[in-house]
Amino acid sequence: MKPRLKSALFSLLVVSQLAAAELEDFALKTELSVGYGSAASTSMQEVVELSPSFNVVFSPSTQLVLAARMRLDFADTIDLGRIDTASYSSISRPASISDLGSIEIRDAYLERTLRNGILRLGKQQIVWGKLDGLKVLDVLNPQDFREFILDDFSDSRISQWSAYLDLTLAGWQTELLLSPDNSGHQIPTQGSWFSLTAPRFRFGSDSENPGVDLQTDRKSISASTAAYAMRFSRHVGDFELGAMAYSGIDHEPLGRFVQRSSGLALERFYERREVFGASVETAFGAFAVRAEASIQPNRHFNARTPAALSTITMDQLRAGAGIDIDGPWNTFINIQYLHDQVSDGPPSLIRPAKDRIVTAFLRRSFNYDSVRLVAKWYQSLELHDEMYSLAIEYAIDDNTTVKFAADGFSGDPTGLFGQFAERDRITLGLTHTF
Amino acid sequence: MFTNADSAGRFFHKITAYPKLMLLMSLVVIGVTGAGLGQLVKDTSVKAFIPPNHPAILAEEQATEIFGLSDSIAVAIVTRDGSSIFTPSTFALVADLSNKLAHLPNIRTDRVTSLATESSISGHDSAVEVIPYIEQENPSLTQVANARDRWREMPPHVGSIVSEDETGAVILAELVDVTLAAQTYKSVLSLIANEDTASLEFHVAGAGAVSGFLGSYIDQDARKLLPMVFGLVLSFIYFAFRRLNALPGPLLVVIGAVGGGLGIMAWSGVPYYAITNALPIILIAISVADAIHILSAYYQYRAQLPGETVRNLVVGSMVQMARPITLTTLTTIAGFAGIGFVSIMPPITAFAVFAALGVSLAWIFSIFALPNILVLLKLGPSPAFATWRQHKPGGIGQILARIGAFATARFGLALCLFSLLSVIAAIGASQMRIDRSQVENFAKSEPIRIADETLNATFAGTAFLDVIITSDKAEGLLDPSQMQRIADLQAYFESLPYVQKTIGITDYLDRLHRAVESTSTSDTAGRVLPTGQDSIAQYLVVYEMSGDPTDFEEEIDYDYQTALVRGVLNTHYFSESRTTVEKLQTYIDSQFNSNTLSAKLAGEVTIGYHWMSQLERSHFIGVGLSLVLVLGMSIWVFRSITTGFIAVVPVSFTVLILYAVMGYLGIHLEPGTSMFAAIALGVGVDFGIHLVERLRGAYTAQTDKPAAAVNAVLPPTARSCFFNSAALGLGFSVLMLSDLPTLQRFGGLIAVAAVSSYLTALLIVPALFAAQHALTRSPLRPLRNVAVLAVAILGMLCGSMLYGSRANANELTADEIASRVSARPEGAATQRTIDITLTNKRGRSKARQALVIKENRGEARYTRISYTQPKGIRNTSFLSHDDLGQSNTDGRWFYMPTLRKVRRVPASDRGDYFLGTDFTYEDIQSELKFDISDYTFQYDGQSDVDGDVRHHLSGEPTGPDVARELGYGSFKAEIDPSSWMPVKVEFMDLAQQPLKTIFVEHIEQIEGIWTATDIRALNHQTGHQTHFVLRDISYPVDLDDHLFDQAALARGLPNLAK
Repeated sequence: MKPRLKSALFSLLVVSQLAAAELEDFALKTELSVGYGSAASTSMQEVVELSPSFNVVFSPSTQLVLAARMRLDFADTIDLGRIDTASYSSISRPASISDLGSIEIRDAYLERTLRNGILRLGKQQIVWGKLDGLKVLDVLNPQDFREFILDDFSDSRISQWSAYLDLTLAGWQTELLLSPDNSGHQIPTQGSWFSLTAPRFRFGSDSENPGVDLQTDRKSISASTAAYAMRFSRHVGDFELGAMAYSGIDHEPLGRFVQRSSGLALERFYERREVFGASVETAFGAFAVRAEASIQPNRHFNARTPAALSTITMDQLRAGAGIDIDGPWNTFINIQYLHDQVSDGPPSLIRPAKDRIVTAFLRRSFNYDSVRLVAKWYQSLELHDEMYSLAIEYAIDDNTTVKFAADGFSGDPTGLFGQFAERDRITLGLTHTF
Repeated sequence: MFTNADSAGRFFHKITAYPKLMLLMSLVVIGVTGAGLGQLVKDTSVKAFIPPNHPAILAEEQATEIFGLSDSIAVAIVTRDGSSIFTPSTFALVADLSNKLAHLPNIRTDRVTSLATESSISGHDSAVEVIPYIEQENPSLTQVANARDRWREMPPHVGSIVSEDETGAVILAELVDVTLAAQTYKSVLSLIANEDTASLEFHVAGAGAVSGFLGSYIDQDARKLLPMVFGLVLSFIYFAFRRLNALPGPLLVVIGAVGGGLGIMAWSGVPYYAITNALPIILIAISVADAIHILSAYYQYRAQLPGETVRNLVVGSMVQMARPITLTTLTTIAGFAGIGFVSIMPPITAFAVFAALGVSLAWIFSIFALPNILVLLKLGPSPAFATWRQHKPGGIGQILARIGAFATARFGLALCLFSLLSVIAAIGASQMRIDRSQVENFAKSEPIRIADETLNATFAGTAFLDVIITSDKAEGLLDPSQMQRIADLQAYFESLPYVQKTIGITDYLDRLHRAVESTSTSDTAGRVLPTGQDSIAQYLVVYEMSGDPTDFEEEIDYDYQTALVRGVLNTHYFSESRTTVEKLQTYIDSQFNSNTLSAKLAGEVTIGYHWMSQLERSHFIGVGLSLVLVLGMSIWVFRSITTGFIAVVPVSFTVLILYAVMGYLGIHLEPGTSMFAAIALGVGVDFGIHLVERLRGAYTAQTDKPAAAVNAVLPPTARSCFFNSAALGLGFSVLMLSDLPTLQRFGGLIAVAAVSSYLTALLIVPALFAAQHALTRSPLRPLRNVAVLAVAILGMLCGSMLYGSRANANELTADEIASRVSARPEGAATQRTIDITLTNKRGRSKARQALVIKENRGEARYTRISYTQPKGIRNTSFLSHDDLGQSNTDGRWFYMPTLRKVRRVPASDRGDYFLGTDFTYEDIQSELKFDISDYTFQYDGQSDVDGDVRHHLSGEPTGPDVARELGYGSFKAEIDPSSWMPVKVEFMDLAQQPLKTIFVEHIEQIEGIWTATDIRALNHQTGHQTHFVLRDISYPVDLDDHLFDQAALARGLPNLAK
């Protein structure tokens, strides 16, 4: 067959498919939020978000899912200046809208429903973790830390271009992932409201030290930078058991000093990592219990001596457990514990050899779910720094919600939460979906 | 005195004119009627209790005709140490016993089923292999292990021919002639008696065995009890009159009544049913009662008038006793007629008819034969009546008369005591239950009962509920879609309580399909059938190439037009299996039957169900009718309403006492015990009639001296009634020596009835007459007529009794209504869209839309609800797996698109409100049904709404924990009986304050299933309302199982287009 004829036929096929396609479920989520930094006594947030989404349905089993997000921060504090896109892979970078904000594709995937599964090709989020806000197995997508961990994870998780197959075979849920996208975590730029100032996130440098010129070494997309993952899960009795393996770029950047023509520079770079994990979940009576654990053999960490910033490989174990409680007075309570240990971590290891975090979550709905009160509390058991959040949401109607929240931090400024001790805030948000 | 001046005197003078001729004629009548006894046939089967044209019987006959099914005897071999029967020695034993059983008389050689006769179906290289489990007489260890592996892959054989835990094997042998079951049962027992029992237990059970054993029991009882009854009767007559020549007369009456009654029954071709065993006992007791009264009168006159001729004394006695004997005969017949009119069960109807006939014969022989025997025997004076020479009653008469005199003097106390006892009895009567199991006929220690319990515990069960499925055309069942419907029916059938498994042609097709496809039973749950148009026919051909073409003759007929699905239940109790039968019948009516395929129920469980249902419907009506007939007869014969009521009060109380004893002792009302009330009514009324007859006359003669009237007439009557009561009591108590517990209970209860009715009559009749006498003379004119009092007491009695029976009936009716609501079909699967409107008390509304799919798989119910509107919550999904059998395996999952992960959530409180609606999770799950295990129900009557009947049902949680779990303190519902859908349910909270009301605004039948399409819930405490409008409703045969995987929640909205 001649190439021209092939092209014509292919075009015809595409046109016929598009002609048969239907646009469905168009929604435009708009969110306005203002924030006040109570400790800093300053307005810290004037954000407008527009998130359109729609599906293009080709057939009952095939559709294209598209979603985007435009985020404008008029106070220019959450994202100070232009957002740093260096941590994104070349195919995932959002577009900056001057210093005001950015626009990015959140979802863009073709979805094919199979008899007992689904195939998705495109930019998407895949969540494998069971715990809430604690990442043990939720390692497939990098995270945007522009609001630290206060934003909903689904909003802060960075979608990746990937092929995802989810099939149930003989009772086993089998999930396979291939992602060429090698984006890393989005770290807030220096000076933005939630910039990470603790030394563990600054390659060991003191928070007072602005550091040297920061550069990023990002490898081009290739087989060596792609991520591969698989997960198997099934019900055994009343338990849901799962096991996963992941091999791909570590989303946490490492640092190294490099000599540039302009002088010594700090360069971010990314190594691969392997994660092997398992999870279990069950429910009994008024309780639902879940636990997950992972081991990351020979993971790369930064170590720092007064003389050098080096990279070492150590085994890391992360394990967490959580319990949901259908509490009295119609309350929902969630308590979790995370243990993170780098085995045989030397004193020069920048991050602590051990992290222990406990979280608590309380929710109570009133007036037929139209009013919701949510309280969160996180504490690091190592430095006893903590974060707490209290929010009240009122659903004016099915499409409109008002949310008032207060977030506070306290404790050691080198700690996970204590680093934001001056970043307490009060926010008021309005969300409406058209 | 003894002249022929009056008509009665002239009549008895004529009767006694030719005593020898009359006696000869009597003997001829006895001879002719009694000759029929040689024709007597027995039918002790359960089927005998259903009218022969009843659909269940016709279906059973069809099953027998097409599939050759008949009652079978089951021989179970169970290891004593719990080890596996898959050993070479046990295999050899099973083969040997199967062979011996097949050659026993009355066993169908081709219908012995065991490991030795059955084969496995397996596949190898796409070829089907049908291999016998036991291929040679002495198999090797390897062969046995291979057989075990093949057996495990054959679901129809797991739990049936070998128990699931492998500790027992069973051999089923079908009978040629069920009426010869007793001999066959003995032969089987003899066969296994020679086996080694050191390591193995042998049990013989099954419907055939039970039937056979029951037959042999009846034989044993008849031989043991009848001589004792005769002995007792003779000794009582002798004790009453202390003259040997007093015995022939009563004996002749007894022989005439019993022999004549049973003889005519035999001549009529009516079989001797299980309950007929009680008939001769009853007739003996009633016959001897008449004779005792006549002899007592004779000996009294004999003492008082020593110079009178024997004939004149006999005529005088007959004149005195003819009226009361006739009255008691008429009232007894009226009592039996009550049962006969109402019951449609042939054995009970026959019992009533021939008991009435026997009573009539007893009267005929008492009136025509007994006086002539007395004339011929020329009976001399009795020492027992010596005191009557001075017109003084004897010792027993005096003691009894004092009791009557006490009741006369202290009638107020007697009536109060009586009222108190009535209340206590009514409470007991309200606790009586209707239930039965065939094995309850046997003592707990009887091997057959142990065998039955062992088989039910070890194997799938011994009770069979069959479904006959018929296609509209020959070879119609070769259509895979029709076969799939049968498989769906089986899946539903297996989800019902007590159903351990079902076996049908689909199971073998499933095996054939798996064999051809080389898949294992464990690979895919459920029955997997071929789908190709000709595939079933091809599979059957493939099977015939490897196996015996007749192997499926018990599952499908030669024309492939009729199939049989056999359900195996592990209970014989009516109370337990009734829900299963009702639910299955409802499923068949509403979801299965179509123009091309229809089903009907058959089998032992079905017949038992109809038997007991008939009893449930007719028993209390029969007793009520008997009471009314006896009352009507009493009023007519005494020409007085007041006296009629007085005569019936004692026996009414007696019936109540018997219900109370049954209630307190936990004796079920079942066919064996169902007759006693009417029998007691018919027999017990005699005492009241005799006492009323005598006291009424005495009061008329001595209106100013009630005590004198009682003293004058009571001693002889009380004495006669005492011996009558004692004869009845002891006569019936003979049944307590029976080996059949049912007969023991029956005999004991009737003995209680005989004694209590006599004592009640002795106390109450004089008390009521005294009360009447006192009130007639009282200045309280409005109360002067004792009829008022009598009616009040009788009304209280009837009311108490009716309360008991009504409470019972209502409870049953309430349970039945709840069962019907619960059994209302909801389809094997369903899908629908719900438009939800939530409105708060200020009138502000929110609209939502959800797609709901449900599927029932066995005991489990799967529900998935996915929101499609509004956009903010689109694709938020909820999934629940509710295991109705094991609540601890319930599961709930949520998927929120914003979280992008499926989350397991606690499933603790069914009373939690569902996603901001006014419906709880339980409301959503239950489809407007009430879980029978959650509530105790009460029937609150019915009402008429625009010409439509509404049943009012209320319920309270069975305990505080359940109440807390549900969030409800009680409910009141209005049920539409045409659909068994609640149209309005009012719920109270735990403090019994109005909580919410659910209104079903509109229902319609969709694909044959009643469906609520418009439902509104109003919360009275918050003013919030939830309105569900259901549309796009369909009931697919099944849905893709994967839609209910929790993983599927994250895969988007369910795609139901295919």
